[in-house]
Amino acid sequence: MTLILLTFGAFVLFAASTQLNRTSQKMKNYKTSSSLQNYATNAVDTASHIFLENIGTYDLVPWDGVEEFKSHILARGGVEKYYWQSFLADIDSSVDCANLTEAIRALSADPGLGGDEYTLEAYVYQVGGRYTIVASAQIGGRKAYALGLISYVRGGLVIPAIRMAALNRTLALMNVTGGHGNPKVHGDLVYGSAVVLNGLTIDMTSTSTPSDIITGGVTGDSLTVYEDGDELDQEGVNELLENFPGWYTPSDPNISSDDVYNQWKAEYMELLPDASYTVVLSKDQTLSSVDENVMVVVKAPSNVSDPQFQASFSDEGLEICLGNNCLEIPESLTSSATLSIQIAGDTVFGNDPHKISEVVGHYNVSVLGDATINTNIVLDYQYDYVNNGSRNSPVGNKTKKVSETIISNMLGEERTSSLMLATIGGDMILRFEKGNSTHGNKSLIGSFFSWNDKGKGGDVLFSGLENLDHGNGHTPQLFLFGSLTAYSFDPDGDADNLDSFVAVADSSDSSSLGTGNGRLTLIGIQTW
Amino acid sequence: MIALAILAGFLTLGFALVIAHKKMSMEVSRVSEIEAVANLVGGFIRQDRRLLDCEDEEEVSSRLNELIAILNDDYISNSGFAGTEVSTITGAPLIEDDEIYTISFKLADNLARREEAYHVVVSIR
Repeated sequence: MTLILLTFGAFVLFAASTQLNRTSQKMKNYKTSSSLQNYATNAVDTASHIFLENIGTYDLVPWDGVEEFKSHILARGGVEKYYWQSFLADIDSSVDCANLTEAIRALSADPGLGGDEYTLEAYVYQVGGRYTIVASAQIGGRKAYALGLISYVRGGLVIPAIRMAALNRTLALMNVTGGHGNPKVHGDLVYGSAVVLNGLTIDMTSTSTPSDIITGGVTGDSLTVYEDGDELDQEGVNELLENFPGWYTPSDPNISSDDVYNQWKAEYMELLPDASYTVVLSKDQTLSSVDENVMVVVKAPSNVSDPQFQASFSDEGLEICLGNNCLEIPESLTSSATLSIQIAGDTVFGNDPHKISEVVGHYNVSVLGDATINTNIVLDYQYDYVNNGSRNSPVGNKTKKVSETIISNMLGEERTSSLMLATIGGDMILRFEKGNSTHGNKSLIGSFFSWNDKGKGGDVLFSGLENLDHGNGHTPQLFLFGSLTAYSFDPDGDADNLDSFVAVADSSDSSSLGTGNGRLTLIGIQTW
Repeated sequence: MIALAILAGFLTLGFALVIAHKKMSMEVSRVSEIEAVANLVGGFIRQDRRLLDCEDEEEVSSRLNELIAILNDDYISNSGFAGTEVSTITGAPLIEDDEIYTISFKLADNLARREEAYHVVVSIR
């Protein structure tokens, strides 16, 4: 019996000591792995800095280690590896790159690069208008890789994404939670600059900057700032703005907001052709040609008072109807010339807030009255960023997870279509609708204007927001890519039910006050 | 008698192993925690927009002083790591006269009474 106990005890002691050894080894491996990843990430930061300082001066050579890097990533489980495979498809051992290994190793004695204990490598590939950096850190037989993406950001440029006299909304720092397929987005982002003449309020945190809310700065007559929920006094606001010179530009106190707005309107009106011809919608018709110098004016027959037009964009062109009588504008007419068209009466665009109206071609549409947007208006080359319908169903009803990478990708697309849509003497009404699967979102891509004329219109209004679901992954959002100009945004206060408002300035926008691609910067790092 | 002596030996070894195991388990959990905090703090520093917007070494240094307070007051404890804090953060140019810095920070583990140093590189270009 004693012998059995002794044997059993010996086994227990052996097992326990073996486990201790294993645990000790795992702990060492964990620390090594963590350090390798940190130094690989630091190598990407360093390489991107050096590369951007000396861009255009490197000899390009192929790197045969790229296949090993790709194998390292693709050996991992999970669907994510297929995304990375697609992302890295343009890079292989036949593609030339800038070799920054020597430059990195010259600095490797620094503690930030491992104090000469690690072997570092870094290579930069150009992929389209962006750059991909691959760096590695190695010690013994263990190696970690990090990948960085350098792209254009336009935070400092003065391209306005929104221009308005009054913005009845506090712009709050954006917070994104939830997975890739079902992001929950709270807060706002203006990617570009903003002009809000009659005072702006932002809600930020002590670790954020005003540029995290409006990247390109704001022009206005006053600024109210909340930091971590507390309103800053004027001294606090001044101190904040001193830290971010150029972000806030006071508007000229000698020029009223009405005068500035009317100046914007005059600039827009200058874009409309002087000559016009009229189409009376008393029967079905098809436009046969487009002259950029002539505006097509669509009117109701004289016996129809207060006409209500219906307009819809599709990949076949634009259709404008009054009752059963429609004017067809084939897509082929607007592929190389911009159609200027004016609709003389209230107009509803689209017939389903969840669906996408795809704009193919070039349009300058003005509405003499209210324009109700009862759809998502999306230019063809941005369609895939908005569409989330299954089996190519033209649905765009999910919250957009906004990141610099996504915005950068959208800005990098080749422009094949354009849209300017304005109301003159009417409001722009954005209609939302509750549905079984919708998150209550509206996507608008193009340049949108709401002009007051003879005391009527000029506002951006919201309809149906109060019925939308909130919580459980539903975070209603207005996503605008282009620009929005209005006298007043949401004067009725309906947009309190909007969890997120995103406005991205598009440099290709013909109404933009400035152009340019911005500056190259490192926008993200992934480490394996 | 011999059997009893062997048994006593096993018992002594057993106690020693139990103590070692307990110590090692604590060590593992502390190392895991301090590495997790290092990742957290490193990521925080890399993404701190105010740090990235600094224009010179003086501004970097000033922002790092603010970051210590922000990290220790709320961020680390709110992330569930109340036993660890940042004892120092310093920044030094990685390349002389250039806008790239090595930010070194030490994490103090109050329970294990030890410090670990970590380094991240940030460019304020």
